[in-house]
Amino acid sequence: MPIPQLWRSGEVSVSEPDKPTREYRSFVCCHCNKIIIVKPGSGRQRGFCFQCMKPNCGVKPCDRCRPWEAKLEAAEGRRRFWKQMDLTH
Amino acid sequence: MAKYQAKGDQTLTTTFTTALTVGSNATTAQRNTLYRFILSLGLTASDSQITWEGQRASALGTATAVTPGLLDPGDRAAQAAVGENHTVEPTLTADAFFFEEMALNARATFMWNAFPGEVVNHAATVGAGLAWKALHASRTEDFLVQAYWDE
Repeated sequence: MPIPQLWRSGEVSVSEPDKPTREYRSFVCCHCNKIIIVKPGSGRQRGFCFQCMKPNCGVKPCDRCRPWEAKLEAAEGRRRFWKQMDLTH
Repeated sequence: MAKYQAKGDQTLTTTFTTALTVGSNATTAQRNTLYRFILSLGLTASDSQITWEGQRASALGTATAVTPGLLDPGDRAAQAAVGENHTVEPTLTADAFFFEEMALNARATFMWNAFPGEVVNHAATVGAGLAWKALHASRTEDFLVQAYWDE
């Protein structure tokens, strides 16, 4: 099923000499921030998160809703905590 | 948010080597939001499948420092730590790819453009960043990566 315009978040173009430029739609997984290039007919099944209301890459760890922004904040928070405890340099 | 651009290259080998890393500043950690990158191969143009991969890093390795270009000359200098032609590979985060392994013809130029707000970024922690890598079984040309980001 083609991804609706609303969920497109990027475009890929591949240009080669003596060949027409190929263009693909892409989106970024809302849970792992990976770029997914949409190739119609590839048979690859992607997911959709009804909490983020965005498509995801479809791999198992991204089934559960954990937005990328939350993961970044957790990583940054952890680092701040270590720094406060003087455990990092 | 100011926009920056940098280019990196590296020689193809039989294992993945890194051409460019864009990462957080070593003293003042900040996020970089990638909105475009371009992949291509230098020198001889002939058909071969070059394998490319983009992976997240937790340490940026040892590289030749790159001074990023400012897309608006009125902006401040870039804060991101940018390196090319790595001699010590970055510490890569397992299974954390921002684009999965893919094969691309050596003649081809690949460009990814994000729509506004739908970008790839990394945590604002020292050492965190994005790394572009490629390999080929026999070719030894330089592969080139150009990245555009906001910070």
